Amino acid sequence: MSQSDVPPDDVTPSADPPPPPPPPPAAAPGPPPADPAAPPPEREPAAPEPAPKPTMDDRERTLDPRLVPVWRIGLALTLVVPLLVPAIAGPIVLGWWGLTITVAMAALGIVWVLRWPPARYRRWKWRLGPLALELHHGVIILRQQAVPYFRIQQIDVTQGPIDRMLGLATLQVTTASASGSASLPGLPADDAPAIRIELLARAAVAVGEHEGELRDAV
Amino acid sequence: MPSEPEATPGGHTAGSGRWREPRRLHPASVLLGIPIRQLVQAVAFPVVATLGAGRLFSVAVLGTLAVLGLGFRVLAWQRHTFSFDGEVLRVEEGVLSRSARSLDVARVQQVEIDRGPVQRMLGLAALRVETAGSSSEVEVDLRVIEFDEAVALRDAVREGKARKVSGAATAAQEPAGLDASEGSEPEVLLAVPLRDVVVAAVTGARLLFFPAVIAGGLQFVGEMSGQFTDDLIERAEDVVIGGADAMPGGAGVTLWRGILLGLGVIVLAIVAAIVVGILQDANFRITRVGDDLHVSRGLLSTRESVVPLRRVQLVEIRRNWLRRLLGYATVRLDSAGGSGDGDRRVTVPLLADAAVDDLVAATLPGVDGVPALRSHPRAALRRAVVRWAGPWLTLAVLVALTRWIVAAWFDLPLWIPLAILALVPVAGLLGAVEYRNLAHALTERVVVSRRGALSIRTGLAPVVKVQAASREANPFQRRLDLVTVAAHVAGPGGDLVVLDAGADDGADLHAALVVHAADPYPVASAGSQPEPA
Repeated sequence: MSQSDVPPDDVTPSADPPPPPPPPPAAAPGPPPADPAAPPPEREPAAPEPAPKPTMDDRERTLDPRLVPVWRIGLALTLVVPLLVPAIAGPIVLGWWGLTITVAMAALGIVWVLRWPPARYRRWKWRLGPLALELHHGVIILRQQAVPYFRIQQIDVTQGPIDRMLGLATLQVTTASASGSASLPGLPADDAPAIRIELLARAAVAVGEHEGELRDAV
Repeated sequence: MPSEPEATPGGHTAGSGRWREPRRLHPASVLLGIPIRQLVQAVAFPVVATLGAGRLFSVAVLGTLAVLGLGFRVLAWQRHTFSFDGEVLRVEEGVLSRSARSLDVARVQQVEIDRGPVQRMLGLAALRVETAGSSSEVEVDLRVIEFDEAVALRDAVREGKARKVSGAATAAQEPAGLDASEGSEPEVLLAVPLRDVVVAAVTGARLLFFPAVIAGGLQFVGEMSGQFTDDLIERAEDVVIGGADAMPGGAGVTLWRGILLGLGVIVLAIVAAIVVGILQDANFRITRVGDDLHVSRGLLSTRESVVPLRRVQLVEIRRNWLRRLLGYATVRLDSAGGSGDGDRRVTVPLLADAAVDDLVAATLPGVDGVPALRSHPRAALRRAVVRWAGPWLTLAVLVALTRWIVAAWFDLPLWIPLAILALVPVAGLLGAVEYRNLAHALTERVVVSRRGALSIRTGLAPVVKVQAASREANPFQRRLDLVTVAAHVAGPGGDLVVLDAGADDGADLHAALVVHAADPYPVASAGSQPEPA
């Protein structure tokens, strides 16, 4: 699905010591959240928590329920687009046989579109753990991911077209390992910057606890 | 003749000053710097395109293109400059669209010096610097500079890095910290004798080199001149397959021809594998200089890679069944260098089993060798057998069903589903073999995973390099109380996957990996476990 970056700034928290990175709190080697004077958020109105200190609690969170229709539309499109031509051509070429297959497939597709996204939504849980961002998801294959704050290299906020209509956003948390990166969908667009700042702050604290070479995550 | 990985004899301070001003590459890079693939593409397209028009036209087009290309290369050479001030390597290049890169020495993952035969004759080399990144191309690629300069620049980069690291630790930015890393003598960790290179060549995937070339060549020829090769293949088929029926008296002759042809292909494949193996891996040697591993190899084209010890992300020991029988292994050392080009990765071609632990100990500081591994619960056996045999069984059933459905129209031979069915027990047996190899371990320094049926892979990742952890279980695994845990590691080496561990064991491993990844001290001082109930 096409994604357009909402904030133009992909901020890299200083997982490495040398280049002073954009977010000021990360660069300070002493007490990590030293100067609250340096304002990290570029957008004043949307950020409810501008202080670069980890403030969010670690309770288990769910996604925004509006994500269910987004997933439904996405799933319906991915099913309809490739199957439309055979679904129409089938009855014409094969007669009643084709019609039966088309109807059966359509029924199956409708059940899938109706049942799958809610099931997926119910399974999705995330939490800001003491050491790592933790994601639990998956309907058939249950997956538990943990992305330690210390290893976060980059955080993007992205929105697809349907996301934008409904005011949702996806947080893309990247580590040095492509497969070890995580994406957190279905956040209210208003909350996403705050969560990103929270993650950046936690990353800065985690990096600030280490000295010299150990700061280098790769 | 590998180039000696010694430090530059000249003074260091003079050394880093040498590149303060932007410099150009060696003028020879106008010609030698052209990537082979680009050259082939640039020549092949106009040649094919003008094939129909007369020869004179072809020559004229090619000549014009050559002059234009040469002019472009000269411009590119003029624009391509690099400089190094002791901390940051800067490269500017591009004729139409320009790019300027600056690369902090502290981020360097791997440095390589490559020399082809021509470059060695002229005393030239290519210097490549890789950082951690997802892009598949090399970060900095100085394609042709003088060899001495390449070595000196490489050493300057290393010194800059050492200075930076010690500077970060002790706040003193003076170059006093240099001596610490410079004092250590180069120590040869491993030298692979030619005999082993040959054994490696004939026991590994290189055996497929010749058949692959032949197949590729045939395909190319086939595309170039379809009709002619079709005829040729048809005639060959007549002789080889239909020959026995076609000429009742000459059956023996064609059979002999077929056997000879097969033998010839096998001999050629072995010879080609040995030649390629020797060309690539002769003089393979790993030397430790300070905190860096210098890996040099190659007969005509030589390649020397420098991997800092603390950049080693993953060490993978591989044993295919043939090498296992002979008591050998190969070992791959992965840094997070962005380009996952197989040819560019550091792979020890062959190593006696007894030497593996020593190499592991030398490349992973603080690790004595492959630690004792825990095997997986009995339920994993069932899962392994099903995982191997299941797909074949499904396929056999599907084919049988298809046969039944299409029976009205045409007759699918019965032996096809039966043959697939016969593969099921074989696959199941391989699954049982894999179960015996499944194992993992977590120590204070490394996480280890072993898997594979015929080809066994043992991966070791330093826990300080684990970027993230995840575990997953599909319904079958959940029913058997199993879980697959992945330690995500940077670089092209991929993840370290622990397949089908016990659910509790896997949860503990996952939790411990998160603690290690979140807190890269060798001894984790985390008071809280990250796992929810």
